[in-house]
Amino acid sequence: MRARDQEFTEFFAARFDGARRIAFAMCGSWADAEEIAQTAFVRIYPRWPKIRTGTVDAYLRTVLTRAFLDTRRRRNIREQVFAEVPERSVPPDHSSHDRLAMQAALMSVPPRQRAVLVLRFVADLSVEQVAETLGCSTGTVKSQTARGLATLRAHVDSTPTRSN
Amino acid sequence: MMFDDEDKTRSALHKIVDTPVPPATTTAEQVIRSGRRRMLLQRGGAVAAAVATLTVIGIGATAFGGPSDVSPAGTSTTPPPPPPSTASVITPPTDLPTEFPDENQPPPPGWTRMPATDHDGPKCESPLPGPGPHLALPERSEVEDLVLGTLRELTGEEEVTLFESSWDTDADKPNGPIGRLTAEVPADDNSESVRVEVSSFAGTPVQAADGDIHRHSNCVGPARRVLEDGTVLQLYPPLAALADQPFQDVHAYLPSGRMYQVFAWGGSETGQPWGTGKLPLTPVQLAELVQRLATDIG
Repeated sequence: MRARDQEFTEFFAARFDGARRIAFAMCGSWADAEEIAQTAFVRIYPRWPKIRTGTVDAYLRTVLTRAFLDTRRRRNIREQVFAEVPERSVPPDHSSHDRLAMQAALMSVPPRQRAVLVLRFVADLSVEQVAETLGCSTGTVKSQTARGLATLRAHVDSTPTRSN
Repeated sequence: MMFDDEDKTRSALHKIVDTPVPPATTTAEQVIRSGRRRMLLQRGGAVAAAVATLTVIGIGATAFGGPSDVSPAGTSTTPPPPPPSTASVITPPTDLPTEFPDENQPPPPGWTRMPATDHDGPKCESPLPGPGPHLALPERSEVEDLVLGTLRELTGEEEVTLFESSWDTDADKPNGPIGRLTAEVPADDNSESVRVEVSSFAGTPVQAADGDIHRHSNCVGPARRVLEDGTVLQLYPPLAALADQPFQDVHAYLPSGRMYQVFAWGGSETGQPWGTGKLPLTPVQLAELVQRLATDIG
């Protein structure tokens, strides 16, 4: 168990922040993102000895995305997390307005399409990798991408631009 | 337009995460602790995870109620006196429960709900099991065939598979011989599990069942039926320690001193890492499986 935990701890240290970023892009909240990432790593731990090194990142993406998508389950799991994760504010920077506007636009996209957009354009996965992550066909990924981008575009077009 | 080509889209969406990340409050140690708890549950050890005393008692000796002559240092190996039995229902094994257990509903005909009151203090904890007769195990293939055949029949799933099976026949071990097998039942794009353990227990079937009333330490009484040959079946309420992997178990205490425990839960080792949110067997089916083990194999 000691060697297993050592390996897992290293994996956690290397991947947890990245997982939180992806989860944050999907859900728009750092607190929820941390909870989703927690859930994903807890689910991975029991299977750690069976996960091959070459597939561990893909596995993490799948578990993470599933944790995000299943909001009902996420609510239930919220009751079992080890600690409340307080929402923390991030100091605004010069790019905050654009970032927040983009985030708001992304949040207007339905969750599954949003997950596809995040995996394709934030996690930089190929269509095939996204299909593998979500357990669907590449055709579904392409159609979900197109619909998600259309929603995104519509939201951006309908939002007044910032006056300087 | 911003989203008309992939590079522009990627650049636009990357802005969302181009921001300082607040420090994480989650540690690897927390995740490992929760992961271990999940691992226990997935392996049918929900009892072990649920019962706080197990950290003192030792999972191997008590998690599945097998007999043990190992006690914590400084304690007696004499089994504690069993509480007075409160049930002795003898009925034909035909009217198994359909919806049990709901705490607010009376048990189905033929079953008696055991009291949730604690005979030994307010914690609703079961006493340590005493040393058992260390009976030899039944034929492994016979148990495997019965379990797989019954699961296929009850669930209608031909693809029920044997995930693992171990038959430790060493009678000199503290817990005595223990046989374990886990079968997986397909469920949509995932799998659910049923684990069977065969071991032996100390005392009479009613004494052993009484001693196990508070196995889950949740102060909710199980349901019990006593068969004509004196075998005691004890069905526990489902647990939802993990929301996506409910868990339920049933025990059979045979007059010979043999004990079968059947655990069912909504997850698996070979399927998806998340659970299905439901059990592979209804209470009726769970009780039917353990009853067939008790009567067909003995």
